Amino acid sequence: MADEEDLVALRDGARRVLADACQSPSLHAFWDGASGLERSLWKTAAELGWLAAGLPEDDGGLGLGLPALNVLHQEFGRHVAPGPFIASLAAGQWLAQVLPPEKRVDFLPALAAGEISLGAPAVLDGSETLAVRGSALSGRVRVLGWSDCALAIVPVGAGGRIESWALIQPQDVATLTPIDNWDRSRSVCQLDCRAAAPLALIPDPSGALSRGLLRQLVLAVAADSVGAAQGVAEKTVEYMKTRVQFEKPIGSFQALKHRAADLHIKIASNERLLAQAVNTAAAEHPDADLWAALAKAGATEAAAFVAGDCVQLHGGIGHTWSYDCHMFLKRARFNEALLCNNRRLRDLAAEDLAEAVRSGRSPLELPE
Amino acid sequence: MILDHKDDLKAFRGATRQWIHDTLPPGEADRLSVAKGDEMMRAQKWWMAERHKVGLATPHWPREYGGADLSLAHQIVIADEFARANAPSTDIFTISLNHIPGTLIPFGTDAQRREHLPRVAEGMVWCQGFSEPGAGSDLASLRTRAVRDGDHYVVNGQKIWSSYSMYAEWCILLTRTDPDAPRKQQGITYFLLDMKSPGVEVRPIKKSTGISLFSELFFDDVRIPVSNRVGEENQGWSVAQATLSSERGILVFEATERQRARLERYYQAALGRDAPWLQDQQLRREFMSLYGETQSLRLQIRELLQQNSGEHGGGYSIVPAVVKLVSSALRQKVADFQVRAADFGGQAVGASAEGVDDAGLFDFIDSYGYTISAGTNEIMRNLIAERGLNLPR
Repeated sequence: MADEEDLVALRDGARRVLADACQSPSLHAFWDGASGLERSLWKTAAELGWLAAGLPEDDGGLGLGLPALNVLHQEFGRHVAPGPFIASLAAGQWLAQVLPPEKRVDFLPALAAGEISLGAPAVLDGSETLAVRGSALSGRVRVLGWSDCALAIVPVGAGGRIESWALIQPQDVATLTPIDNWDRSRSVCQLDCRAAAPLALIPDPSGALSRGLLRQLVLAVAADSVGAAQGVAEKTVEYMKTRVQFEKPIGSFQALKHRAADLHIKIASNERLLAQAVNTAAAEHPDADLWAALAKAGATEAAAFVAGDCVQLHGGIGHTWSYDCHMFLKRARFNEALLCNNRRLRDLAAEDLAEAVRSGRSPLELPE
Repeated sequence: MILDHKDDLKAFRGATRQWIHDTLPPGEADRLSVAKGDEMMRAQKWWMAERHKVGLATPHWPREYGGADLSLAHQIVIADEFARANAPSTDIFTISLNHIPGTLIPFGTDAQRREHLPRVAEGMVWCQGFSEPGAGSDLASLRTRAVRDGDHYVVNGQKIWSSYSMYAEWCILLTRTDPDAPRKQQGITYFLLDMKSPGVEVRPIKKSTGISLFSELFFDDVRIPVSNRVGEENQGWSVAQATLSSERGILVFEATERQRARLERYYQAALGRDAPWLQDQQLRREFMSLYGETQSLRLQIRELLQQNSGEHGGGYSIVPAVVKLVSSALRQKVADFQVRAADFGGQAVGASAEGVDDAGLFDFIDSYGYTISAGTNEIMRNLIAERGLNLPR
């Protein structure tokens, strides 16, 4: 695990690199299809060890665990960095827990080195599954990740239930068709396959694997959202100091000041909720799933609200394609809808809470 | 004795918990926690006297003034254990326990400290005469006049929102001594006022909950000896700043831990009787949001305490403003939730919902006391925007 000093160094480094790589003109060029920013960032991430950060050392990783991933995702969000980081990093973390050693060696070191990327479910609520007959998979699901991802983690089941998890090598057994989403900073593909042979099919009768994967993914999404909210709010506050109307910076008007303060509070609150989720997950605490679900619900709603309000606070320019606000807004709305909706996450958390309290545990208890 | 365990925080916690258990008969805590009016005052005085017996009345004070000089970590343990046990609060002693030492230790005279601090430790109630009808958020515009007359000052004017002043024996008072000072902050003088002085009139204000917890104070030619002035004439504003910053976060910590305990009792009781709101998807989801926000607030308060214990660098921090705003707003949101979750039952006076007394409309109405007092939440937003985000004034 990383200590506090490692995390600060990682954050400062990532912030420096991403602030340089994701300057506004570069982001816009990428959104307009005129740059390879996404691929070059992936390469940078590999070179700087970001892709290895969370993985165990035996798998070619740096063994820094979830706290390091949390730092990285916040920075990706803050700079609206394009790339398949959520899918690859969260799925990699899950694979490191789920896969037997002989299978890990084929994928995890390559992921840590950036040679391959991973695909993860874009919808993880049981509503999208592949069907299985014998050991052959058929159907259509949406996958978060690049169309050339080397390995996709795909839910298998029927009737709204996930019964097992398939690892498939989509380049060999499926087609991946990119979907044109409003958020261009993330890639989602439609995966189609017929009688495809998976690399592995792991039964999940208790749902524990699903919940474990969901935990990894929602923590990443929550961190990305907190970062995005911080990023767009900071830009907006700076804009309010320089934009002059009625002979004053608009940030001197109390109505707008109070809005800015409220955005600050909303973000600060969700930062702490995220910290609670990351800390309990890193400690493998029994209430980790509850906090992860609440953190994603809270952070994605906050980010969507903050990004929307920042468009409004910018006035006309905030509503243009050539300004940055819309990228944050679209990313925030994407995060909010990703995996499963926040209503469902709060329902899951409510079930977790009831179970915890019935077994005499208080999830609010903090370490001394 | 509890204080014998001060070198071992864990044993200290155990001893504190045991003492609370032994001192508060079962069921008594819950009964006392909702006492109102004179019954509330008696409960708090009794509890304060019990605390005094074992050194837990003024644990945070320096030893030379009768305190136990306990660290912030010990104070956190004490507050935490009181909150968990739902022990009677000591709200009426807030000024006495925090503002009086916070003012007199740095700014008082030796005589003032010797006279007042021991009596405060024994449970004397003080009140604060700061706000006026025309000076609320804009405190420095206060107009209560003090005029020097030999070895006395003569005070005329009016104060308002003075919490528990109907029970108070002494008052810390801000007055205007120089109406012509170039800045309004420069003409203010700080006094200690004996509430029994002739010319002091206390008129309780009935809050929208029907309860009187604060009063208006009227001063008609009240004579205060010069020896009861704190600091120099016209230097009262900086003394008042010390008063207002004397509290290091323990109060909001304890209040929030009490809120946490209430929320858990509420939920446990709801679960136990399968309350209808648990079957209502929308309310259940809303509860989970509030549950998350409660934990966020608790983490923010721990950061505040850490900051105040000097583990982080100095300089202006907006965390206290954020915490004040968030804690009061969350209290209001929880109460609002409980009103709706109680359906029509929440409308009854004295309604207790889900094993938590006052969880009906009382708590909700009462919650405005927190969003308005101690600097309105709008003032907090100004502070956050101007001093935290550096937006122009």
